[in-house]
Amino acid sequence: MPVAGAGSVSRRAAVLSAILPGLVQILEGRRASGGFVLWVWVGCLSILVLRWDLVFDAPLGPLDHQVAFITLLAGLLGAWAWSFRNLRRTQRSPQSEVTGMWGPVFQSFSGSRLAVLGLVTVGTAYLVALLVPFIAPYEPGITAGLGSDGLLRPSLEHPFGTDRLARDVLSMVLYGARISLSIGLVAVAISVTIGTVLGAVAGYLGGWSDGVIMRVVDVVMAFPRLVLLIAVVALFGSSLLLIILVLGLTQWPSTTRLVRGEVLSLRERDFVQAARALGYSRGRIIFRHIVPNVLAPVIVATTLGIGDMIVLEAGLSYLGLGVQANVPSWGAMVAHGQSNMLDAWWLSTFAGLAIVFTVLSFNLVGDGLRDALDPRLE
Amino acid sequence: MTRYAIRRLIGAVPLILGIITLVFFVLHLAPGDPSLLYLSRNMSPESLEHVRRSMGLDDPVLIRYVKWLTGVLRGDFQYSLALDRPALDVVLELLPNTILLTATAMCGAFAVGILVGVFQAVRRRSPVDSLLSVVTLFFYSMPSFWLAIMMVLTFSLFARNVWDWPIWLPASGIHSPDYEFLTGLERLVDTARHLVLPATTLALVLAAGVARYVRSSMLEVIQQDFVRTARAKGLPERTVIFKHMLRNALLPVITLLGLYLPFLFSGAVLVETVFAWPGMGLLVVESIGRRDYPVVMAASLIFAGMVVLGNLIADLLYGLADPRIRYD
Repeated sequence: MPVAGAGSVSRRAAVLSAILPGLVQILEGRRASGGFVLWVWVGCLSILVLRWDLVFDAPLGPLDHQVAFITLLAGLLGAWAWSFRNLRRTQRSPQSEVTGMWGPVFQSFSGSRLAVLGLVTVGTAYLVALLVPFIAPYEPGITAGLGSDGLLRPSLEHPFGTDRLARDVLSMVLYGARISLSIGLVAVAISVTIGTVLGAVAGYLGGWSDGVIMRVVDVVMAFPRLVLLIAVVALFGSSLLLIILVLGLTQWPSTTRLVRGEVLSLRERDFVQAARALGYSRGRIIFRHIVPNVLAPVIVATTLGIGDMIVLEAGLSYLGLGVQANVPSWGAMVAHGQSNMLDAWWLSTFAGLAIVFTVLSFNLVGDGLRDALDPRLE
Repeated sequence: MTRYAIRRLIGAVPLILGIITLVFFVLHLAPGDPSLLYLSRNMSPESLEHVRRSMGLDDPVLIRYVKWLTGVLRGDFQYSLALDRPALDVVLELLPNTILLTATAMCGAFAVGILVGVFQAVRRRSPVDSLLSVVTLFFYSMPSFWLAIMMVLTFSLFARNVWDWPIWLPASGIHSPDYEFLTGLERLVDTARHLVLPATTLALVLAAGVARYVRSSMLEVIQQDFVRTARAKGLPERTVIFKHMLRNALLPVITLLGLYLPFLFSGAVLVETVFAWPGMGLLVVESIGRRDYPVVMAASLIFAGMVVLGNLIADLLYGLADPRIRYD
C-alpha cells in the first residue's frame, strides 16, 4: 500500500476499508486478523441482505431476535471501526510493533496456521450462536412443512436431513450451539476463578490452608467426575444453572494444582520479596503481584477447559440429563439419533460432528496459546 | 518398597473416606424419597412407615451416614433397593466386565499412543507429524459416546445390513444369545468379538491423549546431551530412539497411567451405556436413575479404591523404571 501523506489516511485505502473492511490489512500481510474481520463483515452483510425481512422485524421480536439484531449491528460497525482505527495506526507508525507481554505472544500465535484457524472457527461459532435466528433456515422446534415426512435424507433443501418430527437437523444443530457454547464459557469462568484463587492461596500461604485445599483437590480429582455429575444432575434436577454450577465446581482442582505449582516457584522470586519488604498485605501480594504472573498457564487451561466442558455437557445430555429446552442440545440430538440409527444415520452424525469441530477448535487455540506462551517448548 | 506401599495405602484411607462422604451426601441430600419408587401407591401410611423404617430411610442423614460407614467396616454394604440382593454382590459381579473392558482399552491406548507419539517426535515438523497431530487432536476432541455410536453404525449396522461386509461386529452386550450352547473356545471368541468395538472406542480416545503427551515428552528428551552422546558414539538410530530416548520419555507417561484412571472410568460409563456392556458404569447410571443408593455407594467405593490402587501401582512402576527414585 502506498502511503499518501504522514498523518492522513490514503484515500484509496480509506475507500477500500469502507467497502471491504479488513482487505487492506490482508494486503499488508496480516492475513489472520484482516481475514477474520472481512469474514465477519461479509457474513453480517449477507445476512442483512438475504434475511432482510427477519432482521427488519427483529427489534420488536422475541429476545433472541433482539440479541441477534444487536450482534449484527455490532459486527458490521465493529468491522468498520477496527479497519479504520487500524489504518490510522499503521499510517502513523508503519512498522508493526512487537512490544509488551502480549506482542511476542500474538506474533508467535499468528505464526501457527492451525491455531489461527481454530480461533477463527471459535469466533465464528460464537457469532453463529448469537446470530442463529437469522442464520438457521427453519425455526427451531417447527416441522419443516406440513405433509412432509420425517427422516428425510440430506438434500439441498435440508442439508443435514430431517428428524422423525420432520424438523430440519441443520437448524437444530445451529440452535444447539447456544447451549453448548454458553455452558462451556460460564462453567469454565467459574472453575478458573475458583481454581486460580485457591491455587494462589494454597501456594503462597502454605501451611494448613495448603494442606486442606490440596486434600480437597485430591478427593475431587480421584473420583470419576462423570459419576458425580450424573448423580447431582439426576437427583437435583437438570436446570441450566445447576448444570453450569456443577460443571464449574468440579473442574477447578486441575487449575488449582497448576497454579499452586507456579506460585510455589514465584513466591521466592525477588519481586515478591520486594513486595513483602514494602509491607504489602498478603491479599495484595497474592492478587496484584502473583496472580498476574500465573495468567499464562491459566489462559491455556481455560481454553482447553472449555473443550472439556462441552464434551462433558454433551455426555450428560446424551444420558438424558441435559438442559431441558425446546431445542435439544447436541448430546441429546446424538442420543435421539441413536434410536433411529439404521433409518437415519445423519441425526447422530451431524450433531456429533458439531461437538467434535467445536471442541477441536478450542483445543487448537489452546495448543497455539501454549506454544506461544511457553518459549521452552519446541 | 513394601513399607512405602503400606504407608501409601494408609494415606489413601482419608482420600477414599472423603470421596465416599462426598457421594453419600450428594445422594442423600437430594430431594425425593427412594421408597416411593418401589412401593405401591395404595399402601397404607402405617405400612409405608414400617417399610421406610426397615429400609433405614427414617433416620436423619447423619445417623444414616454413621450407620452406613460402620456397616461398611464390618463388610455390610446393605441390600440393593431395586434388586433385593446384597449391594456389594451386585457390584462385584459386574466388576470383572468393567476391568476387562478398561484394561483392554488401556493397554491398546498406551501401545498405540506411545508408537504414534514416538513416530511423531522422530519425524518432528514433517508433514506426517503435522497430519498426525491434527488426527490425534481430532480423536482427543471427540466425545467417547459419539465415537461409540459411529463405530456401531459403521462396523455393526451398516456392515451387516447395508454394505454386506463379510465381517461385522456385534453392537451390544457381552455375549451372544446362544452363549450357553457354545464350547469353551467359541465362548472366548464370542466375548472377544463383543469386546472389540467398546474397547477400540475407549482406546482411541485415550490413545490420542497419550500420543500427544508422549510426543511432547520425547521432544524434551531429544534435546538432551545424552542423546547426542549416544548418536556420537555411533549407536544405531533404533537403539538411540528406543533405549535412550523412549525410556526417559516414558517416565512422566507412567504417572499419566495413574492420572488417567478416573478419566477412563468416566469414559467407560458412557461407552458401557452405548454398548449395553454389563459393567459397573452402566450399573451406576441405572442405579442412580432408580435411586438405588446402596449400590451407588458400593460402586463408588470400588471406583475410588481402584483409582487409589492404580495410582499406587503407577508410583511403584515409576520407581522400577527410574532407579534414581527411592522410597523412604
